[in-house]
Amino acid sequence: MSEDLKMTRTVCMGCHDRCGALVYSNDENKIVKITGDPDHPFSRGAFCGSGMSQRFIHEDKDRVIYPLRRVGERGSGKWERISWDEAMETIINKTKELQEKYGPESIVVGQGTSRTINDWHCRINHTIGTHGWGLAPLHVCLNPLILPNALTMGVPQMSGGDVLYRSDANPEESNTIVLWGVSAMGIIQQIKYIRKAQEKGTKIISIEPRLNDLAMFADLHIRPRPGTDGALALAFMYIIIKEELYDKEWIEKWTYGFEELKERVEKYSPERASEISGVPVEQIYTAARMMGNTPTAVWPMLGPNCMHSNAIQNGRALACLQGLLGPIDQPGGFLISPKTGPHFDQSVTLWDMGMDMLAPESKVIGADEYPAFAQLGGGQWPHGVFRAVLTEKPWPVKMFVFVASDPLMCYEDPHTIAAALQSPNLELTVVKDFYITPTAKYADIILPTESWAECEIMDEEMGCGVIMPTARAVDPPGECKNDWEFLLSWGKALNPEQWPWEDSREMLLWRIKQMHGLELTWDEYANGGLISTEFDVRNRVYLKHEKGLLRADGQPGFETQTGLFEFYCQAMTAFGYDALPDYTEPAETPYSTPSVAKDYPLVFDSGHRLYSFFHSAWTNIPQQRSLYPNPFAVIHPEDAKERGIVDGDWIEIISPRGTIKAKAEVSLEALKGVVFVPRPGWKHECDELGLPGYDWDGAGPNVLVPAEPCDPSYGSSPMRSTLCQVRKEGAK
Amino acid sequence: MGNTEKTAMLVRVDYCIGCQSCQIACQEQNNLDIEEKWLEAVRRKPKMVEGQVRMSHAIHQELDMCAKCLARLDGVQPMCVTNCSLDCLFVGPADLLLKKMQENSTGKWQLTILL
Repeated sequence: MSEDLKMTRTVCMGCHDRCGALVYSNDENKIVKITGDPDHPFSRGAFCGSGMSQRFIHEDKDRVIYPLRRVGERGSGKWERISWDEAMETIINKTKELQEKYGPESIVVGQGTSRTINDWHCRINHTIGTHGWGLAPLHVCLNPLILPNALTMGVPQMSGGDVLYRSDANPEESNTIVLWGVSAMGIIQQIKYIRKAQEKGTKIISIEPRLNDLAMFADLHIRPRPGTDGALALAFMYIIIKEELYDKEWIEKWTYGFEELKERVEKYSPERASEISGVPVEQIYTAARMMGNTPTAVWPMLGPNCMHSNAIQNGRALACLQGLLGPIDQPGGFLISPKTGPHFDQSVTLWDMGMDMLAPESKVIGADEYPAFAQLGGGQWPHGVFRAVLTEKPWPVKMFVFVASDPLMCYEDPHTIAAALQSPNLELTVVKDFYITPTAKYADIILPTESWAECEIMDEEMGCGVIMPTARAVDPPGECKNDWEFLLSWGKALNPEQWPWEDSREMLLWRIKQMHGLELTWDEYANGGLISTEFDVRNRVYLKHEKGLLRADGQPGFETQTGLFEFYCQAMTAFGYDALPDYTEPAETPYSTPSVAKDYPLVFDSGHRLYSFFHSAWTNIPQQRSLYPNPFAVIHPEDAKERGIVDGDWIEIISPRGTIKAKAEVSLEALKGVVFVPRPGWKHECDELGLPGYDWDGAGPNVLVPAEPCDPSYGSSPMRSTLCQVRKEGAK
Repeated sequence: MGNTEKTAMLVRVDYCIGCQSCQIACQEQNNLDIEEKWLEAVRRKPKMVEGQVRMSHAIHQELDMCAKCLARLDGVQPMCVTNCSLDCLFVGPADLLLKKMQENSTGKWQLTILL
């Protein structure tokens, strides 16, 4: 390596993990290489292949690097370069016109994930005159995982696993760790610490229909039929209660509704749960007894309680199981973090989280049909938003701005989305992204975006209470701007008092001050190394409910209606859910819809994540694509044989909603009767490898997924549990 | 380390999850064209062994090229090693890696040596 390279210490924002990165660049503004930062407190030098793709993206000739305006018909694929001023003038004028003519609710701002705009997105919504998250896939992502914990124990966090803290975790405190619906890709930084704990005696249970890479080392791997996790959790509780594997003092003193729970789980004997889930009875007993050897840390990810039509009650069953394995917040158990993940300060978001999102004047689409999502999820029900473009009901939606979001790839029923994006009712669509995505093809304006090595913005996602400064390693190409600067110039034009800053640096320092009470200069931020906040997870305080650290009033207990951990949760009933955890069969399965299953006998699960891609991104990046060149589906050898399919055949996967293609990967990795289709969808072609792209409708799993029926009050769509059939391409 | 010493790669196979970060790291480290691979992480399907499912992935390397890479880096650890999220891949002189492997009492290890 030559000596004149510049090394920049920053943070990768390619996914939620926020790993430390060292970016080496030369005097021609090129990235020469990227390595993990060995001094980063959590990632300690580890760095995945996907993060390294930043070098390619920085200089990719196909990247959008200037604002573009559509020429000709929508979807014609013809664009002309315009200036930022022209682009912003169009956006600002249209915003003001629509606010006046149709009301602010006719303007919908959509966001995807991991580009640090969570709270600024809420702020721009407020400036426009709308509320909360606007449009985001929170009905299927993360929030259904958080909500049951929020209601059950007043803790809005996704899991209690101490392992979240990566190198600062102490998973060896747990006798048992349950990885539930997690793939190795989602916890790539944590696995080595879990493995080390395992070598010291911690037992690992993995629960996931597919034999993912965690099955390699799990002491027990359980494979339920997708969407039946709730029944399984209830059966675990049945055994734990029958065999008195719980802490009686904790149950008596700190929980509410134990007797009712006890009665409820009578319905879910291991035999019954076995019939429902397909998991052998003996395995259910083994797992429950392993969990009963507390402290046990249960780490659910999106598998059990997101992306199912019974998502929320599955989640409640898991939350109650964790309570039964209490005390909550004991070392090695469900640890309540001071604050992790996206967290909000109202002075930043301007969103009054106590507001009634269901009131007619709040104008939240989906509030009538899926009130739990509107009120507790804080967002508009996505399908309802796209439908509103076409029907103008409950009111017209006239303008979309999508930042880091490709709706045609990330939401259920994309056929409706495609129709909406092409509808003459829609007056302006703006997409801010790195590449011309399937959604951007239908946009009127595309805005260029800085990627993580090119910008200085940051958030605390998975920062575990530590602020990890970001720095610009290389200048962005062309006229790329970061998302905050875009929102700033839009917001300032609409309401300068709410957007008083000059640039994203000022926004960043102000945000840190609001959220953490730290007044920093730019130099102190950029050059001071890692900044510990009051939420630093390394300052562990256990059993916070005993110390009055969880409730707003400072009293001992939990921030719930009863002040206790609620097995019986009255708050659930306001949204039509049973106050006790219960299992309902997903809406479309061989058992709930046998008539559909006649033609579509296989369960379809698109929860499969791949290391090299993030959601639908990076199928155009040669190094990433070379690892997974073709869209594929994992199918069990017996299911393949019955259909005359051999490994590597091109197949069609069909549901009542549509058809996609994939290469068959015939493997024991699949559970018999289930087809696993990875999430990415392979939307982009990869010129360097001569591999085609499949747009949104060729290989995207959501083509097969209906918007309804979905979770009864949260609107979660069944991306991981619906029905399909497969056949060899061209076969009848 | 010079070219004359025996170069080896040590992998803790039961830690490797097949994320293929090392494969990309190798290409990035050595500025390789996309078709050229000195290190390949091959994801393998689960298989049945005496009625039980077993899973492991495979690392394949061109050790003469590893030797060149190490010589060029002159003491700096290559990115295939430093970036590994599982800390389960090591490259270096065979005797040192053999010793490193023998310090462990558990695990499934694979040591590949170029004599």
